[in-house]
Amino acid sequence: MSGNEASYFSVMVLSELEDVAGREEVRTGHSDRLAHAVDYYWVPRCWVDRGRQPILPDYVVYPGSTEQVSKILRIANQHRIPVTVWGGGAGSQGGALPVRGGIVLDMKKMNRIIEINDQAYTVTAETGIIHQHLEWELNKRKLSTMHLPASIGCSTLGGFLAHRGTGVLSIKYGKIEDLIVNMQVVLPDGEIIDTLRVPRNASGPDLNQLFVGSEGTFGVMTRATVKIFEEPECRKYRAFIFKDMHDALDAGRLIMTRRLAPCVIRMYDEAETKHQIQRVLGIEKEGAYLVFGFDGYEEIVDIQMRIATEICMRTAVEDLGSEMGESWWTNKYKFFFPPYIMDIPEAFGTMDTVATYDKIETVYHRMKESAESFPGTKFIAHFSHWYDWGCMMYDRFIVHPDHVPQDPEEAIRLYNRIWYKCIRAALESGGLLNEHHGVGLKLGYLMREQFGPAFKVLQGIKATLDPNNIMNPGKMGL
Amino acid sequence: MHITTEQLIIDGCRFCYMCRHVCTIARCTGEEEMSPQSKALMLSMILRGSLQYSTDVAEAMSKCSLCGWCRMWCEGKRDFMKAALVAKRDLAELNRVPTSVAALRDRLMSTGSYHRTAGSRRGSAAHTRPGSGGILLILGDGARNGEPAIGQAAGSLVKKAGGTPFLLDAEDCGGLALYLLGYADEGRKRIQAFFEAVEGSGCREAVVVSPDLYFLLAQDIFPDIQFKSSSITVRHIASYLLQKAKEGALHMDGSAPHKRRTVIHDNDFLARLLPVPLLDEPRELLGRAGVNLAHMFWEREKCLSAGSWLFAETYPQMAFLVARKRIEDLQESTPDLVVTMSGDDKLILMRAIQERASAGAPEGSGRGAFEVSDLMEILDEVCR
Repeated sequence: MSGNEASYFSVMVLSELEDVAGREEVRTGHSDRLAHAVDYYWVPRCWVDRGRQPILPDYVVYPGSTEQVSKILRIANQHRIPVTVWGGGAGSQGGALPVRGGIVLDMKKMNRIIEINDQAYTVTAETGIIHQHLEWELNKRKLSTMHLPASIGCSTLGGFLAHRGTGVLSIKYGKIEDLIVNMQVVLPDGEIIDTLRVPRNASGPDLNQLFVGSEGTFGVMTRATVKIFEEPECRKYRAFIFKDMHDALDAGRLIMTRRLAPCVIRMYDEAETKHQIQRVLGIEKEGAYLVFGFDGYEEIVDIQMRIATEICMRTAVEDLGSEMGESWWTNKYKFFFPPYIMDIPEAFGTMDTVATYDKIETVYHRMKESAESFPGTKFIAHFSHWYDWGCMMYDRFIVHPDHVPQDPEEAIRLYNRIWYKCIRAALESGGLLNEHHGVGLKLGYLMREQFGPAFKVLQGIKATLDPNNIMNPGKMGL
Repeated sequence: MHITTEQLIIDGCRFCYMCRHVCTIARCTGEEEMSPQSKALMLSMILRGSLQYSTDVAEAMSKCSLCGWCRMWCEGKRDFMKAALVAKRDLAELNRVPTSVAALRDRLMSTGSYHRTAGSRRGSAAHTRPGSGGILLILGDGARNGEPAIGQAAGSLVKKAGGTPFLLDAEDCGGLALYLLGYADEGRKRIQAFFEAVEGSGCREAVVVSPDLYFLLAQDIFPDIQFKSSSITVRHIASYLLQKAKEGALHMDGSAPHKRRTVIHDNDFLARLLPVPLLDEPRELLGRAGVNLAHMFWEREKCLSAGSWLFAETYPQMAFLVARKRIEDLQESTPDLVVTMSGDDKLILMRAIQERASAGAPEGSGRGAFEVSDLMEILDEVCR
């Protein structure tokens, strides 16, 4: 497939897909296919920006049920047609791009909420639901998944599960892999399976965690049950300016390792404090901006806030107070709207790595040095998701337009060279490929270098589940 | 190509996904092609010569209910609705509009109305000539031709408030619709004629019932069709009546309140497209009238469009999807009565209720059943 040419064979396949999903739900029009050919990944964006044609799928199918997904995968296997699962199409790693043509399964019409369980505090929904729509339904009942990423309005529950997404409150409430309770999956051969009812057990390896992060290469997650929480009595914030990133990082580490349980800590390096905090929040300060927040019962929150403030005040040069912290929360998504977010004609990449506290600063400096070794390239970072053993660094390189070749092929070569150099620097100094954006097409090439001999385990699972390699081929290095 | 003027918006939106969840059509259809981002991507490719205006593109651009959520939501103040409108202008000039759009254009050109067929002239509220203190009452298509009882109630209310309502003989409502369909020149001509009729009415005050005509007279989005007048002030009828009630000129019988649980179905133009949203006035009026007004999650600026009449005429199935979703939203707050702010919204909701009922949904009786009435009708009942 992928020649995009009509043929009697493509019409045969079309008839079979229509037989399963209905004629209205199988699209071959150019606009429908084009809408599924570019995601948030810089490479296809640059490609179409320079007037080139993106790689189109042959068919876009909107399944309406798990059974339909199952039948579609059987058809795909029969004809050896690639299948790429599409949620919001907002991934930054090219994970949902149909690079080998075939079928795009757009899950957004499988968006029903099946059950809100206010005893177990779980919600069960089809995975095509836009996450903000799920949140709104929960919010009416004063509930929330507390999974609040910037992409909440454009990404689906399935999309978050597929690439191990995270949200702004992850420190307290967890990443999506911590929120998953159970799921239904259609395996590549069309068989429908359910994972165990609860996520804590001693019944062998956790199948939830096998499919979470598998980016549509092991099957299609069609339904998921995730944890939900009551909206807290209060949520409070406080912001500080530190002399530099080193001091701020240490304050964040102490808050975490002393188990104060904040719901959020976000710390911006000197460059990003100057670049983004000033632009979005209007705070004009030198140094490193740090904001933390606690939520829950007010009495407890007040104690947590006091102790965290004391920790910060040991090295902070300025206490910006709660108002500047609130301002960050209010504007937390604003950073991602144009013109605040980076955009073409710049070349840019969010590298998003994670390491233990003893290594994270070295990772930062090695990646910065690597990125800035390229002409016209600057490096900025903030630290978004914190654990009791280390933290995640949301680091980006930005190449000035004057240094990005006009020829898109040359631009992609430069782009990948920067990625390879930075990621290798991270791997060598104790970091990982990625913390929550996933691998996709972008980082698949480096998966073997990260995993070493352990990569065979993933390859073996893939070969067993999907011997015809129809599921999202070319992604995750599989 | 007109879209060259909107390149900043188009290029800003083509890879931005931040408003997908609020786009009425993307939300109700679940289709990727309907998202503002996908549409912007198409336009950006047209700008770069790698895509042509085609039937596909024309369909995508026309399937917008003009709800205004995307522009309201955007932190970067990128107004994609405006860019899509300019694309429609290109398509109209290239004669590549969808057939349903072309058919509506022909009807609007011949009748100036969604609701009137060629040659017909439906009635409206009482006519009087302008005199000292005369109020120009602008009803709009829905209240004048679609649901004339609303126009009559509005006229009655102005009289109860001590005003003397005057109606234009020819209230052409097609100008804005033509403009929004992409027929900019034809739309502008009619809009200009309408503006001249308003100014030439001899009245010093205009009170507008129709949300779309109020938008037309108050909007600041499209500079080429802005209404500027030093001789006549324009107010929405809810603002006018509220002021009269506060002054004691309009008496409401709050002692005989509507016991029915009531929610307001806000209108897109009033909630999201005006420079200053008009949301509080109708609520305050209903409160003064003793109406048992309930609040709901999906109200005010979060109100889901019922699809607008323009959209219902061009894509009835899709408009029905939107209206059906709106009915589900409304049912969540278990109202007995839903109050609309426009005749068109009332007609669309009622049509969707009928279609749902004929498909077996529990309308008319039992759980989820509610009546639909317009603000003018409710107020006219309780005002003396």
